[in-house]
Order: sequence, then C-alpha cells, then structure tokens
Amino acid sequence: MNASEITANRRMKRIKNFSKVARAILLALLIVEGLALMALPVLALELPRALKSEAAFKNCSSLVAVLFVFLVTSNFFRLFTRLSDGHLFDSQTIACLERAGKWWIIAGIVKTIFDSLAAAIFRADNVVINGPNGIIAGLIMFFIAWLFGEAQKLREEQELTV
Amino acid sequence: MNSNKISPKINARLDRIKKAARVCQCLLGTNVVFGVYCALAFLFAWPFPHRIRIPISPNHIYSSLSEMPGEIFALFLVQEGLIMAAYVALFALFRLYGQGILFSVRNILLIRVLGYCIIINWLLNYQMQSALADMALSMTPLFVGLMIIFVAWVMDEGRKIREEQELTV
Repeated sequence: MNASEITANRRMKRIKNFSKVARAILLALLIVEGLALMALPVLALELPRALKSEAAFKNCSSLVAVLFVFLVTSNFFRLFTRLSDGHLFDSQTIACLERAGKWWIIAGIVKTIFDSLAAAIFRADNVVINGPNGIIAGLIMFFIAWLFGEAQKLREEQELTV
Repeated sequence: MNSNKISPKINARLDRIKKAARVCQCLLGTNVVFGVYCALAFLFAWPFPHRIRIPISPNHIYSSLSEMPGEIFALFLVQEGLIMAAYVALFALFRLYGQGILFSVRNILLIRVLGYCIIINWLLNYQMQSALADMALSMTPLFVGLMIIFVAWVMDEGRKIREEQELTV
C-alpha cells in the first residue's frame, strides 16, 4: 500500500468515525421522537378542544409536526448509516439526503400552515411563524442532494467517454 | 462507447446545473434588494406597503426603531451584516456553479462560510432572546449550519481522496 492509499484510508476512516457518532445521536433523537409519536392517540382526544383552546391547538399541531420531524430524522439516520459504511457519494446516499430535504420542506409547510391558523383563529399577535426556517433548510438539503446527484452522473458519463 | 453520443449528454447536464445556478442567483439578487430595502425602511421609516415588524421573540415584536433597546439594536445590526455576508457567499457560490465549477476548494470554503454564518446567526438570536429573558429559539438553524459544515467537510475529504488517487501511479 503506497502513501496516498494510506492517507485515503485514513480520511475514509475519519468520515466513517464521525458518521458513527452522528448516527448514534440521531438514533437517540429517533427514540425520543418515537416515544412522542406514541402520544398521537391523545390527538384524537384533544381535537374537539383544539379549535377552542390555543394550548390544545398547539399540542395537536406539535404532535403532527413530530411525525414529519421523525421522517426527516430517519432519513438523516439512513444517510449517516451509509456514510459510516463508506458509501460517500453513491446514488442511494444521495437519495437519502434528497428524501430528508423533501420531508423537511413538507414539515416546514405544515408548521407554517399550523402557525398561520393559530394566528388567524386565536387572533394572537405574538405567534412567530418559524415554518419557513424548515422550508429553507429543506430546500438547501434538496439542492445539495441534486447537485451531488448531477455531479455523480457527470462523473459516470465522463468515465464512459473514450 | 461512442464519444460523440456521450459528450452532448455531459454538456446537457452541465448546462442544467448552470441554468439552475443562474436562476438561484437572480432569486438571491431580488431577495437581497428586497431585504435591504425592508431593513432600511425599518431603520429610517421609509415607505412600505405593510408595517414592518421585527420579531425577536414571541413577546418582543418591534415595529419601529425607537421601541428597540440599545443592546438589541446593536445585535440586530450585527445580524443584518452577517446575513449580507451570507448572501454574498451564496451569490459567489452560485456564480461558481454557473461557471461549471462544482467541487473546487473555493466552493467548499464558501459552503463552510455559509454554515458558520447560520450558526453565528443562531447564537445572535440566542443572545438577543437571553437579553430580553424571553426564549423561543428554534434548533433548526443550528442543525442546518452543522449539517452544511459537515457536508463541506465530506466534500473536502472526498476531493482530497480523489486527488491522491489520481496522483497514484
């Protein structure tokens, strides 16, 4: 094994180690979010009160938001799992990032709708709409995934060129 | 494999990336102009169709400069400067994509700058809300900033691995 191969292996090992740590953190988050999702049946009980009480409405909207956040976190978990296995820029890894971006955009839209509804129904002046943060974050992730995908296809096509 | 059939495909893909980059540059430019005018309209009470309100936290939404405490105003100015720096970095990044340069050292540096700007902006928000004793901070920007820095680092490591492999005889 020559020097450049040794350095390349070291770099790969660093990426894998960091991805393992990130994966462990995301697993903990998934467990917490999974436990929160178990409270979804409470949603059915709170629904009649949701349009009358701001607190009940916020509880219902938070529970629905947790569902989408769970989907985003699970895709990031899959992404870091693939990175920790050494699959850096292949199509499946990029697909995980793309799916995470899409679900993040949807989560942002859902949150924006709920926050706007809360402001409209309860005529609250102090509702801060944070949903656009999620939409922008999702768009950034989606764009990065799209760019990686195009670059990967470009490289494949260039390798085929005689 | 027929190279005459392959290279138009590569060009078409590169053209797609360049077009997307130019669209994003136009959207960014429009956003910057609009954002700068909004900030100046808030600071100097310039005309604007709707009343501009700056929400620092749920119970502290300012509709004029005179309502803002001095410390919050100073942090707000720093925040606006940081947002401008992030826009400049993003504009430069899309300019590189528009030139077909996808994974150079400069691209990675600009992506890292964006990640740090998002994290510092989050810290400024934390500081402002701490000063007002009214916390309602979203963790999303922090996570996004860390993800962007991580992606930049993986891109950099991947680029170095490829360079080293190309040097291998």
